[in-house]
Amino acid sequence: MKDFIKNVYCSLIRDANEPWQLGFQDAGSPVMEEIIMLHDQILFILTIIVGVVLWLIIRILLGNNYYSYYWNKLDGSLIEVIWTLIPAFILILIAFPSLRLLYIMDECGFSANITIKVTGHQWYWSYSYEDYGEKNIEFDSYMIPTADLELGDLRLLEVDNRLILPVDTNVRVLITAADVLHSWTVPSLAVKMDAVPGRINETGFLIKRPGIFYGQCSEICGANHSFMPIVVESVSLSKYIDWIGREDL
Amino acid sequence: MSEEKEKIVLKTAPFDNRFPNTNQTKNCWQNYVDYQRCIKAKGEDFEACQYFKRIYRIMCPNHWVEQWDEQVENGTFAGRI
Repeated sequence: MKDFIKNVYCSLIRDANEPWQLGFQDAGSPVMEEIIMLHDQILFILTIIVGVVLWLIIRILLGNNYYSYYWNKLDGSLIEVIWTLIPAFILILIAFPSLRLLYIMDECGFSANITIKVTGHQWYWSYSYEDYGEKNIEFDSYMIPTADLELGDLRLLEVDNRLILPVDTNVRVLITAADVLHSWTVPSLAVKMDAVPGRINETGFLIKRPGIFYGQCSEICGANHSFMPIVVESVSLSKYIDWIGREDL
Repeated sequence: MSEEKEKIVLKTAPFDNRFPNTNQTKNCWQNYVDYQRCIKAKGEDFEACQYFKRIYRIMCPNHWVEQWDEQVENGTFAGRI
């Protein structure tokens, strides 16, 4: 029973996907919060549209009144103007917040405090911190096989070396690949960036809370594509600095 | 530990207006080439050259730098130094 509780508790506190998941994972960064908000706004508009259209269809098909099928069957300038302008207005209502969000997501590198280099390999990720002068921290991050998992670990998602990052700090992530295409993805942090051999792609985020965020390679990269997960562990700034000071790889 | 703490400053490569896009490949390349040109003109000990070195070390994947260093040594590097 104790093991079961520990297993459930460990699964619940971690930011990973779950069986039969329909919605987003909990947001770990402001951009993800904005994405969820935009999604909810669009779904709200969509619900109203579907409701109104269904209501009109039912009234037209069943009713023998003002809305019935034979009413206005030839032409109606006013209704045509209305059903052109309202959808146009609704589209504007969706497009502007969406564009705003797109530009916010693009501004990741402007004020970065930390740069992390991520390289995709067949089939693991390697991470490198080079900001701290001669102190070069570099390590590989391999998936832990199911046979070696401990109680509470998530299958196909745990790695031997997590990417450690501080909270409330702008992080720039430079992503490339050493062999074939990969994609570095962490849903809770709203990051998905292709890793392309011979090219460096920049993205970034700010983590809002301490936690463990899971992701998976999202570009088919060969036989073990499903077995190169990504784990980001966010810690307080002081703990991060302690870790950098300790790390001697 | 506290001595180590004092040494670590959270500072990284600044935003470069020449490379405002997602693709930062040219940013890495340019800083590497600039460093090689700088040390060729002024010598490895010239302090201003260290700026370029710091930026390319932050921006470039390590396996690229290793390859380029070898090519520079062998005289087969593709950039004009």
